[in-house]
Amino acid sequence: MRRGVLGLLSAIVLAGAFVPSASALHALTLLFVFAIMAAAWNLVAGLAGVIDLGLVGFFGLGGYATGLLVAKTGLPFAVAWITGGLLCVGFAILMALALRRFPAPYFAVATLAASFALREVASNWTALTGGDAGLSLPPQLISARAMYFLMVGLLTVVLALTWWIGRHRPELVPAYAAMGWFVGLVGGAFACWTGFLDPAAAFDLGVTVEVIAMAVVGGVGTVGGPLAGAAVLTTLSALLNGYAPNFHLLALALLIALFQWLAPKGLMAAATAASGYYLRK
Amino acid sequence: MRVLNLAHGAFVMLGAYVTLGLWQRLGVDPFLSIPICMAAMFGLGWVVQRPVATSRILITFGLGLALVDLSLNLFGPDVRSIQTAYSGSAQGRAFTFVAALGLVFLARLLAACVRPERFQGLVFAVCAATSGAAGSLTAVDFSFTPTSGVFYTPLAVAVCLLGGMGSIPGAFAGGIALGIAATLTGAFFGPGWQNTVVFGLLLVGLLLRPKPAEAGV
Repeated sequence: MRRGVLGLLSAIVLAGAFVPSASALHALTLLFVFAIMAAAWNLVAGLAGVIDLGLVGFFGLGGYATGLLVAKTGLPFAVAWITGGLLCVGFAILMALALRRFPAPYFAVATLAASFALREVASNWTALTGGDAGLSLPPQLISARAMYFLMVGLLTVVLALTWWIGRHRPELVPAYAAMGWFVGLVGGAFACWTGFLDPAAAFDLGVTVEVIAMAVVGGVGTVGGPLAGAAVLTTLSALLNGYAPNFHLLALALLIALFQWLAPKGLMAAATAASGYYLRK
Repeated sequence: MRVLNLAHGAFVMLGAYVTLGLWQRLGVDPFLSIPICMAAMFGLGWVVQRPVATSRILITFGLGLALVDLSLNLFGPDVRSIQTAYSGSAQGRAFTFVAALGLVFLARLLAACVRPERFQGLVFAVCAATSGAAGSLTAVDFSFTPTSGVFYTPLAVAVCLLGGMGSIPGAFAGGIALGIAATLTGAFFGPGWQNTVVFGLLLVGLLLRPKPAEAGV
């Protein structure tokens, strides 16, 4: 098992080092961007057992913090990136401390409302963020290949953390802080990679929905589930965006509801059950 | 009933669109379409009660979003409103208020008659029907889009928390308090900050709850 995981990881790293086409590297990077966020959401939902609906708030907050630090103060990318991540950790700890005494559904609604509120701040604080018109960042802050390796690194760490936390007693506040850290870092790197920030994209509810759908389809509470879900849904999303772009969000929302109703353990549990069945035969 | 319905806002939004459709196609007055809306939303609530009864919150979250996105495809993203002869007039507003008060009493009556723990499906359908009626009333006074359905849910939860969960007169008082707060914010800082106010009040409501651990959902 462990040898298989190591083999897979080195294959992924080598693929990034030698992939010839820019578009294939882009697609793989995007897959890992979502897989990291799905794994981070899974730390809270799968291990601490509390549903978060405001994940995109950290994606946007990390993006704006990193982007603004780079664009307005001229800090080097690495410093701005880590600072943005730490800001998200601080915000996550405040939220979790304020909300941890309450039943899970209130936590879900409050985090959803927090992501709406953050979007409003980004839209209305025009002097700082440029408002709805958006903000262009300096070009070439981070190369495509560097972005790829950053995402591979973050994915490895978040999956290892999932495995480690799963063997200990998960607590809400540290789990939520870890989610803020990973999602904030992804948001910061993503903003510098694309070179543009605007409230509609940085705080798009669709990102939360896609990430939750990945974790739910793959298997909430498992180590590999979010990665498997990200692989399945990225493929599905590419197909949908090609043939029926208007039904993308509808399909994701229905998948979340149907999987939670009929197969709450997701594809990983089904795969484990199937492999156990065939191996026994 | 102690289940938080995250599809609530989507039901309100659908109620508004049913009212708009009846008004545009058949000329039905928005107030007269309240019972039709209620019946339609009761039916929808009844249909989806089985997955909802598992009380996994992601199910109603997914369901609400699916309804919002379906409405985006069916009705388009444009901002809609209903222009009646009494829209915006003092009489129209007063009548909306009286109708809302009537709905609150109806909900109170139903809550007194039904034992929620035994008829979860029925309570959910009644809740959907009330949301549909709220949609009719919303359509008279406000403009709406399919995505409004996403924003009504935190709004409704904030209202209930301010007034005290499980208390229907409390919810009414909470609604008035939140309405005043939102209007004042709109007047002083501009309408763009209203979601931030809702989030702030939601936090205040959560932190003011006396014994959060006992009042489970």
